[in-house]
Amino acid sequence: MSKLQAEPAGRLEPFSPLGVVRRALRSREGLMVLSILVVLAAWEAYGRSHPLFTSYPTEILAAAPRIFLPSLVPALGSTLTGYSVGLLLAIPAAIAIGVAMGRNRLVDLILGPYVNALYVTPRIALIPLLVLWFGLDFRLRVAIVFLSAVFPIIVNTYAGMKEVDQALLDVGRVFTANRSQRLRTIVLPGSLPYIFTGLRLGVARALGGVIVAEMTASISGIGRLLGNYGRFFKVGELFVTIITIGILGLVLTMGLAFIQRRFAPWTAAARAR
Amino acid sequence: MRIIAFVAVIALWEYSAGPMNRALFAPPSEVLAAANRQFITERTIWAPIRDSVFVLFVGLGGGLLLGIPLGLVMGRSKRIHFVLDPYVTFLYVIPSVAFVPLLILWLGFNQPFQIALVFESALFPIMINAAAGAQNVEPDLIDGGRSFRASQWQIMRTIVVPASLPFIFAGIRIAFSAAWVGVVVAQMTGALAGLGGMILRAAATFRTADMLVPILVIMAIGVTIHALTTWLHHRLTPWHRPEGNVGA
Amino acid sequence: MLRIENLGKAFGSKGQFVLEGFDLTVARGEFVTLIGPSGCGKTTALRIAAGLLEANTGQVFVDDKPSMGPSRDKAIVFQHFNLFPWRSALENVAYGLEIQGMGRNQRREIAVDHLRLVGLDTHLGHYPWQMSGGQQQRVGIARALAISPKLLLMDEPFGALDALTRERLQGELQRICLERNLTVLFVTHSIDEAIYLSDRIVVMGVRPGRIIAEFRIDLPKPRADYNFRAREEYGAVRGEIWALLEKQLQRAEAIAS
Repeated sequence: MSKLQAEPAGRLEPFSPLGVVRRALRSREGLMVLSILVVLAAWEAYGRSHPLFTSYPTEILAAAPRIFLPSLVPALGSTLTGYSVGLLLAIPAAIAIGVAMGRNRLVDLILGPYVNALYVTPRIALIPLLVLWFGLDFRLRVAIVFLSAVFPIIVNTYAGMKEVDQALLDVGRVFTANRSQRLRTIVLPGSLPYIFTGLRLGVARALGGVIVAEMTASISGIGRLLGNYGRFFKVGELFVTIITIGILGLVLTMGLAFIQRRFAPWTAAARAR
Repeated sequence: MRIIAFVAVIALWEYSAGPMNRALFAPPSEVLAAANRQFITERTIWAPIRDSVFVLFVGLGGGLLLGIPLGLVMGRSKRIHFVLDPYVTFLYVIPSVAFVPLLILWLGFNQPFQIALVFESALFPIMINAAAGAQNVEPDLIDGGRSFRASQWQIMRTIVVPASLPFIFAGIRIAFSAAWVGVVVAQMTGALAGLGGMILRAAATFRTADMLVPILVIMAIGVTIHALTTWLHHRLTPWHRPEGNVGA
Repeated sequence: MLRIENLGKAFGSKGQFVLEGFDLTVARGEFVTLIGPSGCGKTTALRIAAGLLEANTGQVFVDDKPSMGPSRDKAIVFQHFNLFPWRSALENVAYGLEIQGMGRNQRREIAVDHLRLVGLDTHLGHYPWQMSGGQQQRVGIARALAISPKLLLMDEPFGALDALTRERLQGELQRICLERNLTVLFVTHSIDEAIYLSDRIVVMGVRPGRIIAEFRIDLPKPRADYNFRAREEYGAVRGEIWALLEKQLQRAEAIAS
């Protein structure tokens, strides 16, 4: 009988390290924090005994302020300028092409094969060609970001237009909406969840693309920074840069999720179901 | 219609690639000649193709072998999920190219490095999809298994795995493409081997036609992978097409 | 008001007629229900009347004018609500008016009026995913009525709702019909719903879909009082319709096997 009794809420346990750990193992945050602490500690211990190749958390922490202003910020600056210009060009172009392909059979027939082939091709293979065309400067960065981002967005926009709920299109017809009214009031809003999927993909791939371009073509930016730290065995600095890229990726993903929740709340609700 | 458009594109390309900008736009006729050399007379492209495909399959195989069970367990156990989630989420948003310098330091420039990068590229997409699949199994199905007194392992084998298959296949599809990107990244940024290396070597000496052949081969393999995995996906899980792939 | 003549519709490569020689008239202010087993073509007939499907033969007239496509005279309420998920209740109701090019303030006013009519003027800003099924279908009804159609078509509008919600909405629909003197063509599977709401019930048979019987329900409206179902006429009509439908169901099973 006593086994089935619920524990009284808010009971004060005598403080003991083991008790803290045991309680932590029951909560989500506790487990996460514990998991991170254990890994950091193990890493620190291992890294201190193999300093040349692995670095360790305290060294990384020390490296961060050292390189932040002189190296990291300028590199991020040049990477992100090209990155944003490329995305600003790619997003509207991709949505327009996706819509045109979804609306017009001829455009679909002509562009479809190329779009699909380029969508599934690693576009970084085109970097040397882009270097020939655009040289080793800002335009190369914009070009690779554009190419990396544009196809996932086109493909998903197109898919969204094709997958629009027939029942909702019926509503439009019953209320005598013409083709362009149906596009504006039903097809485009109905495609938004797909467009957001395309944006998530495009934004992520463009980040990878621009870093590869900077690394292989050795133009200024976060990619070349990575390459240099690797070449000169600056492992601590290398980790700082990788973590910075990770934070950048998280910010981009979360920012996009925020925009989606803010401006298209129904898509988030549909995803949660 | 498609054929007309294709012929028009090729003709325009041939025409506009005049003698002035041969280095910028090798005309199709030159690309064809280069392809003939690389495939038939000098046979220089076969070894790089073999290298690239080998790296692709070993890295991808490793990623799937580890990623699927890990993902399934992560989807079933809240605790394991909480423990692993911070790393998976963080590592997943980092483009795999960011790991290139580190992996080169650890493993050198050669095959182990390439395989490791491909493995890393494939691991997270498959893991996240497998976890989502296991999480999305209808609780009623699991209760059904419990009512027959199935053990945790039996529930995993007879209910969770089949019910997650659509997600797993979606994940394999994404992982396959990601792994192919990983191969090209590894070979272009570090190893200078395989098809990626061929592109860079041709580019360094401005032999544009020679460069375009491996690019087209990479494209063709990408298209093949996509077609193959799409076909397999529809064939093997005909009962279910998931809406939107997680972490595509 | 609505006149349907000799409607015929075949689907698929085999050209099996799901609807053949279908004639029906609905007078102004009348509430007519089509009832029948699955596959009798009642929804097909309704969708042709709405202009969502093309018929192979026959004509649809509204006020003696041919009306084969969608028009402002006709509005439809769907079984699965079909609200736009990206529009609030108010914007959903205003949809038809917006398509007709009405100004923002005017259509808002009319939409609010109609949400009030269905008891949802407190939910103007709610999105479909924030509302229950019953509330969503109230919005669906308000959306159809907002364009002041001459004819209201309803395709099993309460079929996706739970039993209690269903009864409440039946009562409200009757109230609105009486208030506005609506002309309604209604499709349902439920005999009780048909008797409760209708002036006339049209029973359809299968293979091909056609009309096999008609019943006039002369019980006084509103029929909201609970004793309605205890009345003798109610039981008699219910029994007769049930017998007809059962025979059709057996026929359908015999053909299928």
